[in-house]
Formats: sequence, structure tokens, C-alpha cells
Amino acid sequence: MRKIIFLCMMGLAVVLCACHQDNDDYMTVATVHLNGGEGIRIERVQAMAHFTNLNTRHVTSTANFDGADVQVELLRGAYQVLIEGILSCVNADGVRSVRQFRAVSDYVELAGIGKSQASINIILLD
Amino acid sequence: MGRLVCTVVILSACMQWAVGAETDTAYVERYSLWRQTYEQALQNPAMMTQAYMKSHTELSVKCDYRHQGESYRLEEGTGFVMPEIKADTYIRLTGSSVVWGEASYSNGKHYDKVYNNVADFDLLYPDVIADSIGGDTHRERYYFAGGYAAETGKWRLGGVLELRAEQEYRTYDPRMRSVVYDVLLSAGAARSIGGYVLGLQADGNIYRQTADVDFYSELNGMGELQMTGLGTHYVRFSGSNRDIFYHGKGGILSLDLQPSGNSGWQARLSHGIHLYERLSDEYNSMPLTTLYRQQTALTVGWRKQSQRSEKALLVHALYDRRASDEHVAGTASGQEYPILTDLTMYHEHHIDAGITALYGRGDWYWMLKGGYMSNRERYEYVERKVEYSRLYGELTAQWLKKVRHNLWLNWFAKAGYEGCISERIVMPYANMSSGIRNYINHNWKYQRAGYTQLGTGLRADYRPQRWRVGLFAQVAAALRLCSAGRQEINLQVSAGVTI
Repeated sequence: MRKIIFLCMMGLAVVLCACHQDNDDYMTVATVHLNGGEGIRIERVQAMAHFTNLNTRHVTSTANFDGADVQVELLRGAYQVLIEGILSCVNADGVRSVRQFRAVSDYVELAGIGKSQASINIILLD
Repeated sequence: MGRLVCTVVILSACMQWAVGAETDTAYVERYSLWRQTYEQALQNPAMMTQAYMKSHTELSVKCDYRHQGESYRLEEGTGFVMPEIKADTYIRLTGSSVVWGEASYSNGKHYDKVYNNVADFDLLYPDVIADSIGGDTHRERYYFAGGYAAETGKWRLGGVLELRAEQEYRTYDPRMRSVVYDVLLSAGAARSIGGYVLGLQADGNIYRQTADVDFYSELNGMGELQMTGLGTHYVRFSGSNRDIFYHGKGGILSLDLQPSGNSGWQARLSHGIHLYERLSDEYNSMPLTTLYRQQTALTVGWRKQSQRSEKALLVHALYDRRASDEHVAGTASGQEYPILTDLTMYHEHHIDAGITALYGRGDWYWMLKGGYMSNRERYEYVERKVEYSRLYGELTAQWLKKVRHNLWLNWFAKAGYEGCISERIVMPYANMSSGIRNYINHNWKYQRAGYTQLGTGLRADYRPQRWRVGLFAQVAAALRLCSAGRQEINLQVSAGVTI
């Protein structure tokens, strides 16, 4: 009889342990690198970056640039990215200039656990 | 010779009285409040061998009606009218084996459901397809169940199969149609140990639902929302994506301890896990969300039944948890959407704990119930929270009497109150559309309200001794008064034949 009770308790313990594990790594620290193209080195950026989550349409904006990189904490997922502003860059001849730019991407995956990285191309507007 | 005839007449009268007493006991065990002390254990099919003393069949026609002045929960509507025909039987094949079954068909209407375009909202929320228009729906339901249980030595074994098919639809825009198939297979075993019976039960469930919404009028081509909890929706696949289906499965394991006789300690522990996956028909069966539901219930009690009175004290606790995973889709490649990651964005924790005391003496039964209920819902990002807890109490009285040799009367009345003791809501109101804001605020008004409940009912069973069948009729009414101002009326009428 003890065996029966033991087996019942074991069965119940197995079922209790088979609970769903939450996927609760919600956020990722996303770093997006601005790619100026061949021969252009981006030194400083002053711009607003807008990240639109494709699933929720929630928009996160930041101006937290470090060189050519912008860093922001986001919900893990797929994003549309729009960055507009001015930058200081050095071209292949070593000439430094301040230019207006825009960088747009319809789809960027920022879904890594902990950290995510992506790179998008810019176009100069003037 | 005269003495012989006299003896036969007296013996016949005694036997008639004995059969009558047995019938009376069978009636009481089936309809008295006392049944609630062991009703949970009868979910284990193995326990059905001792469920009733006598075979019994009931054919009935019933109509349930509910009306709320304003819907307490928008998704569930303002009420319904559901006529039903039903056959229910329990047959003792031999001294140690029984079969039982039930078949029913109901066809009725639900009124003014909003933000819910699927059937079985209770099972599937918050992962439903919805819109702000809603309206009345037609509902048709078929239900069949059959079981067998037998006793051999100290062991009892049993099994039951339940099938439910259901459709719910609307005949004007938005034309929702949901078709449900739900199959439940349950197997149980029990063994006598001393003065107790220890039972184990395992249930397996398969669930399917297809749900689509159409608009026939060109002007009404609005989008449908794939809801994800507390007013949020899966924006990317909402809009024109109006055909979805659900795949569900799950199981429950239960452990029972019941006294072999009418008195002793009792306990029941059950744990169930179910999951319901919502898939998009229009995006190549892409999974949108998966709802995980876990329920753990524990009841511990003591009961004593004697010639003079019946007493029982039960303590119950229930923990019901929902967690919904959103599947984050990547970019399409040849109509296939890869899943980048899963995020458990929605949680609900529901706790209900209470105590029930039951006392029966003569023709009267009294039941007093009190407890605590807490409900916490949370959406992770952007944070939304709805939390409330209530205290409740309810007193039920029942009078069950054979008023004439062929007429039973069964009257009950109950009164109860549940009051909110804590409440909290967190919503990003500044970023919510006015429609969703009104929807959340409407439900919140009734979640934080207090409710007073009054109800009464009468059932009459008429069975002349020369008839092979009996007739019954039942009327019940209940009124629920809400502190937020609107009332709910429930009416139930049924009539039928007992065999």
C-alpha cells in the first residue's frame, strides 16, 4: 500500500514540476551602428533615433549616441528604425565636415537576450 | 388461511414501506445540499460505483435566462437565453458495476458581447479576436458523456469520455463564427484502505476551435484586434487577419481520500495544466500566442452523517494561473514567418480560499460559506495592472420533504455578499485610444464593485406509486445587486420525467 501512495505522490510531483517556464527576459540593450559608407568615418552624431516595435507599434526614442553608435534598452523583437540629425565626419581625404543625414530601416532584429547589435546605412542630405 | 393472508398483507406493506424508504433516501442523496460534501470526489469515475444507491434516469427541458442592466464584463455580454433538452442516466448493471451517461442539446442567444469574437471566452482569454462593435450571437451546443465503473475486490476502476461540439455565430456585421470540438477522456482508480478509499484520477483533453470574422457590407471593412491582455493587441497581425484557430491540449491529475462510510476525513488535491495555441490561418498557420493555464486545488474536510443529523466542515483553496506567450515574428520569407523569440507578456493569478460549514437535521439543510478571493492581472510592457481582492459570505437553506406519499418538495433560498477589500489599477492612459480606455474602465467599474446576491427555487417531484415514471418541475430565480448600480436577474425553469 505504501508503494501505491508513494507512486501517487511521485506522479503528482512530476505533474507539479511540469509547469510552464516563463520567458521573462523581456528587455535587450540594443546597439545600432551607423554606417557612413566607404571612406567616411563618423566622429560625432547629434540626432534622434526612433525605434518602432513591429508587433506593438510602441515607439522608443533616444539621442544617446556614442560616436557612431546609439544605445537603448528595448523590448526584444523586430523594429523599424528611423534616425535623423546631423553628424560630424571625416572623408577619405581627411576633410572634416558637418552634414545632415538620415538612416532608415524597415526591419531590424533586436531580439538578443541581454544585448543586441545591428548596423544601418546612412544617406547624407546635403 | 386468514392468518396467512393477513401475514402476506402485512409483509407486503412492510416491503412497500422499505422500498419507499429506499426511494426516499435515493431522492435525498441526489438533491440535498449534503451531496456537495462529496460531489468533487465523484469527478473521479472510479468513485461512481457508489455515487447513488439506485438507477435513475431523467429527461428534462430547461431554459436559463440572464439579464444584466449593463454588462459586468463587456466580453461576456449582458446576458443570454439558453433553452436545453437533456437526458441524464445512471444505471447499476450489477452490484459492483455501473454505467452512466448524459446527452444534451442547447440552442440559444447571447446578448451584446463586445471585444470578444470567439466561443469559450472563459477558457481562452485574453487571447481572443475582438472588435469594439460586437453584438448578439447565436449559440448551439451538443454534449455527450458516457462512463463505466466497476468494483473488484478492494479496487474500483472507471473511465468516462466527454464530447462537446459547439458553434457560435452572428448574422450581421461583424459576422463572427466559432466552431468548437472539445474531447475529454478521464480514467480513475481507487482502493479501499481501512475505513477509507484512496483514489487517483488522470484526465486528458484535446481542444480545437476555428474562429473567423467577416464583413459583408463594404462600409464595414474595419479591422479585428488580436487581443493579448488588458486592452493590448498584437498590432502587426491585427486588421485584415481575421481567420484564426486554436489548438489546445492538457491534463489533470487528482488524488482523493474519502471515507468508505458516511463519516470521516476527506481530501482532494488536483493539479491541471492546459495550453491553447492561437494560430493565424492567413499567415500559413503561424502561431501568434500560446496561453498556459495551471490550476491547483486542495479541499480538506470532515463530515459526519448519523440518523439524527449531518455535519460537515470543508476548507478549500484554489490557485489558477494564466500566462500568455507572445510569439515575436520575424520577416516573411516565402509566406513563412520565423519566430524570433517568445515573451510571456500576460499573467493572471487567481486565488480563492474559503471554508464551508454544512448542517442538516430532519428536512432542513443549512450551508454557510465564507472566503477570500484575489485576482491579479499584469501586462509586462508597457506596464498594465489590474488587481482586486474580495471577501465573500453566503448562507443557503434547503427544505426537502415528502409532503404526500407521491409528492416531494425541494425548496432552497440563499443570500450572500461579496465586497471588495483592495483594488489597484495601473494603465498608460495617455497612450491608450479612447475605445480601449472606455473598455478597460467599464470592466474596472464592476471588478471593484460589491455584490449582494439573493436567490430562491422550488422543485416538485410527483410520482404516484402505480406510475412507472415520475414528473418534475422546477423554478429558480436569483437577483444580484451591484454597488455600481446595475442589477443582474437569473431565471431558470425546467420540467421533465424521471424514471
